[in-house]
Amino acid sequence: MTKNMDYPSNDITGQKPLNNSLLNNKIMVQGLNLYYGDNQALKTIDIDVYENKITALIGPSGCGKSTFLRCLNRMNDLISSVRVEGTVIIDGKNIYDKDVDEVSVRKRVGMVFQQPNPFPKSIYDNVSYAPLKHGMVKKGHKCDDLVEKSLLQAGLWNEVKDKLAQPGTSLSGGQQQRLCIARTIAVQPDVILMDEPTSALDPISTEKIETLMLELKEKYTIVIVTHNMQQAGRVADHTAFFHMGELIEYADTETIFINPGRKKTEDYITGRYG
Amino acid sequence: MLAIYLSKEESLIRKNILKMGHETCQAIEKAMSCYQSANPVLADEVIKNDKVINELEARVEQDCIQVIARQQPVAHDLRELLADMSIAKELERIADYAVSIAKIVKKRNFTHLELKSDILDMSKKCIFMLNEILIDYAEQDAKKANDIALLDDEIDDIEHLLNDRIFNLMQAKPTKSINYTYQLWIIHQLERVGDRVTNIAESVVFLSTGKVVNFD
Repeated sequence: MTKNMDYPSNDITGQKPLNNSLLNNKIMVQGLNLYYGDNQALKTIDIDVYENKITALIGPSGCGKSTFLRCLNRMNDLISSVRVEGTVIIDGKNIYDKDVDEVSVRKRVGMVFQQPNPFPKSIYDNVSYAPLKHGMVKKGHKCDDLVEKSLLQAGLWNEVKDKLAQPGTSLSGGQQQRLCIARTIAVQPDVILMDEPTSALDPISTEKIETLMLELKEKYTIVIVTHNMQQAGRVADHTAFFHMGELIEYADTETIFINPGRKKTEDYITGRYG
Repeated sequence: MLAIYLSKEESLIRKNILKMGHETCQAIEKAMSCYQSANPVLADEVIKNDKVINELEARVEQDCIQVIARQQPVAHDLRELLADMSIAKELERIADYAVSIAKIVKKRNFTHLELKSDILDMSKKCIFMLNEILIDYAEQDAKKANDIALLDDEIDDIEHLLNDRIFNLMQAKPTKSINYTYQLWIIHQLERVGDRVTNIAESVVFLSTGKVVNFD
């Protein structure tokens, strides 16, 4: 279990600590600090993310949850003022080791953003672009199969199979987001990071993405940042609450939403603070 | 979710539950007074007032459903609303036991029957438990609720003891066996009050600690 959190004992509060005996660690974050220049945005984060589970990161704006998410695939490396300390071990290897290529990290740890951001290319090209670039497939039947498989997994194939040559931007917002998920899946990652993936979508499209997430967790480990408490409650197996750069509480989602162990968590999720 | 509105709604629901609790306590007290004094007016009051308690229960349930649907409460807020719905149901059932006793004592005369004072003592214990658990609910005191639940064992013991004595009396005085049977029924209703108070204690523990307990 993570180090910087305390769980009241079962007997006193009914709090149910994360039972991790049957879970496989996919990502182990240890002593993670992140600085934007002199400003420390993440403070000694210790957390284990489990394989084939959905982990939700919640917390008020500016609490560090998106910054933390971007640490998991070294997206913060793109910001010049950022300095990262600590380790993020994925499948036994620290992705911040000097011998690790950040592009290969991002191939294994894909990302879906708040705003759907399809390339200004056809639906087909959106999905095939990265696999072709990485040399995973060559143009032809195998590439076609990969595009079809990815769009099927993203629950979009039936809606777009007859218009693959049309621009990705011609799709609706919800379809564009699923196209972005298909694009992420196409490079066969192990982990999918989602940064508020439905905040720009209507309830119907949101429901489709959430259903998709529940299907995808069979094959992938998913970490999602969300401001939507109900969404975390609906889809996440585990939930982590961040506040002012600190990980305040991490537990089964059920525990967080029925009987959180920390007052700060309770105040935040009940709308009394944050 | 707007916490300030949620707190107001919760407070209104709590007020209605405490009102229900007060009415329910009075119903048991009146039914037992009627048993003691054979005053049918009190029995009629209990029967008539049951409608008020039923309406309060429906009101609490509707308010809880409305708040859950509109505000999607979580954590303590959610636990409180779930506990409120459950406690309202238990109080409504306790009030039904009072009505059941009132209907019996309205048509039977127990004036010179044996064990009357023992049964009245039993009812006082039940009323004490009910009053106390309502205070524990208002104060969200899991520890005291736990203590009150323990008293149910005493109620069960009293029931067994009184039942045995009544069975003996029935054999000794078969001509009074109908009234003794009705007494058994009153004792059983009081024993059920103890069970329902225990259920309320479980809800109080859940709402204040999140712990699901079974005191049976």
